[in-house]
Amino acid sequence: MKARNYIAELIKPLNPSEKGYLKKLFNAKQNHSMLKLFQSLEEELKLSSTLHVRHTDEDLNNLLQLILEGLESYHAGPASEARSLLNQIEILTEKNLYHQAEKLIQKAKALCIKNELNEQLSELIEWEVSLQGNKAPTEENEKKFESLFEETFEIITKQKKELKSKGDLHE
Amino acid sequence: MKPSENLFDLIKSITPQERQAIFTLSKLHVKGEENKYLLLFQEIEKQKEFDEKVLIKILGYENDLNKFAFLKNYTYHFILKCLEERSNAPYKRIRSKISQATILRNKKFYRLAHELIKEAVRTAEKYQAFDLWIEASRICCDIAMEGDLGSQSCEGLFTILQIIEGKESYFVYRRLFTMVRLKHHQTTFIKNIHLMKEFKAVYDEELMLANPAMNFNHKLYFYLSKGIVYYAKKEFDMAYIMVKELDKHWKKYPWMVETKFGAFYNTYYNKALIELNFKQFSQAIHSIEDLQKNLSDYKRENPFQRFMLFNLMIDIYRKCGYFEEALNKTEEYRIARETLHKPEENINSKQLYHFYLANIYFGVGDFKSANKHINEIINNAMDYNKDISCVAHLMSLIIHYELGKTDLLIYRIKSVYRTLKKKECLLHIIDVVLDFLKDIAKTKFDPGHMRDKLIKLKEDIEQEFTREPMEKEVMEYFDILSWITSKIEKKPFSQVIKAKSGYALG
Repeated sequence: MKARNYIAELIKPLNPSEKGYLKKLFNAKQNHSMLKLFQSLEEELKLSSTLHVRHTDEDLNNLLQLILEGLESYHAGPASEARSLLNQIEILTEKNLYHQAEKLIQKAKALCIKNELNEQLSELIEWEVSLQGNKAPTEENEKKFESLFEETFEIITKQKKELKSKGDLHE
Repeated sequence: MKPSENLFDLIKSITPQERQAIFTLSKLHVKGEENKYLLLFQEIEKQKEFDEKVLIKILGYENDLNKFAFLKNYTYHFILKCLEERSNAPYKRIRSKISQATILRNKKFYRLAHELIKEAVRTAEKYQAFDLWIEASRICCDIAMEGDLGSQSCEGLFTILQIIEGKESYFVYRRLFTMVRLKHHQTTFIKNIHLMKEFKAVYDEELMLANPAMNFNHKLYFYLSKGIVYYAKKEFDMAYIMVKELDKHWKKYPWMVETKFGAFYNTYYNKALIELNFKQFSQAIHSIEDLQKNLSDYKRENPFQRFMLFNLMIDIYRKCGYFEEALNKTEEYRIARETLHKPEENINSKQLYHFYLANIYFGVGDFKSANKHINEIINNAMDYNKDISCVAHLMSLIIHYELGKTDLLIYRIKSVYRTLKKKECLLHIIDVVLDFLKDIAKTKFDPGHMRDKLIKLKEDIEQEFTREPMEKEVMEYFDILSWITSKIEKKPFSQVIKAKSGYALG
């Protein structure tokens, strides 16, 4: 991905609050060179729609990456929130904080069910299966496993159905 | 567990590098004159046990407990956000690209959105992360359509359907693996294993889906499941072939180790375990050391994985009769267990820990300490692995015998018999041992006839082992025959086991 091809059209229409957030983010990360570059591009783009050649590709790539990360944390919707919770579940599991990870799974599952986020829901169930595997191998847990796999296969059926209806629509 | 304890546990798990990232990022959130959640973080760091009252007082929230609750909640989520931000895990990178592409799509920057989502599709494909692959491919098609980028710009619905079907067949193996693992954890070697439907399914199963672009996970769980079944059937040669197949698999897809570290760990843990069963002790120790190195090389911080390797190492010492050496490791062993999150709540680790310590103390002749650890298992009904629970009950009788507690022995015999009957394990062995102990208890340890009685006991047990090989397998947890031999020959227990193992610790 060449940042030079995209960065101008990305920065120009950013609204003031997005720009403000990005500047604060660069500051907090003590990325002063990127802040400076961002501000100089803002000025440049007020006068022209193209960028000066003097900016290196490396700098522009880094800046584009930071802008995208900044926009990602600025714009939170249910799907990105579910993705974020999945990242956090992974971290808590690695730290052996299984109980906390399970709590987040339940929170994320409710969010996914409400917003029909099938792929994230399926990922969450796989995490639930992994965590369940750390518990005592009781009959009760066996039943729990069965119900989790049932949930997954239901999601797969739903995904296939949705895809089929999409295909019909395209035809 | 209270939410406050969650915050305490989370802060206690933070590494110095993570701490630095949290403090750097906190600058983004300074509101007003000070940053209260960093203060809370620092105060919790100082505590050895969570004390909310002290925190409320230090931070001045005595008259506003609601605000304090809000602060705790905010701090907890802020820390998680910081940890997430500094993570560079592959799945996180894919999720991030998907979120960024979605934002750009909403802003109608289709070209850049498309570049990002294509990258997400490629990475998800590389890691065969089905759900992320499906999601990214679906969004990629939507962006291509909305942005009018041409039909070549997306994988097409047929490819997405193939990925969904790939996931569906993968879950068949995932399910089988989960179920056989559960059965295997209930009891290591299962009687009539071939009759159990989960085991039969795995044993008979052949690998579906030949497409290597999609079948990494299929193969992984296929070999892992088969490995468990062969191990449970004591077909160690075949179990080792499964490990070798997995080893080739990991070498072919080295980048997968990062996302499937648990399965990678299991592969080489199983390798060491099988080598131990082959009595290739030095090879098993070598495999454990390799895996310990891998944990460091891959910077894995999961304390349970480190602890389990400790268990395995102790088990090797135990099986070779090197109880003194194992005793020297008990402090390290205790510390490894302490690093587990709430070790008291982890029944698996708790049962293994007390069982191995009981064995070590038994091996060095410290029966009082051995009894203490066996009682931990019995009195607290630690029933993670049924085999271990049963052997623990049997060991408690032998410990009482060693301690010469005849009165208590008679009382315990009844209770152990009832328990093992209920658990339906070691029923044949226990009958023989109980007859022996009852006889001994009655005759008040008459030394004149002891040798004959011990020889008879040994013969009876050997006979039972021939009749019920499964009980012989369960008794791998405690080498009762070596113990009887040590009594007959009047030699230390450790000496008999050392001679039997033929292994000289290098």
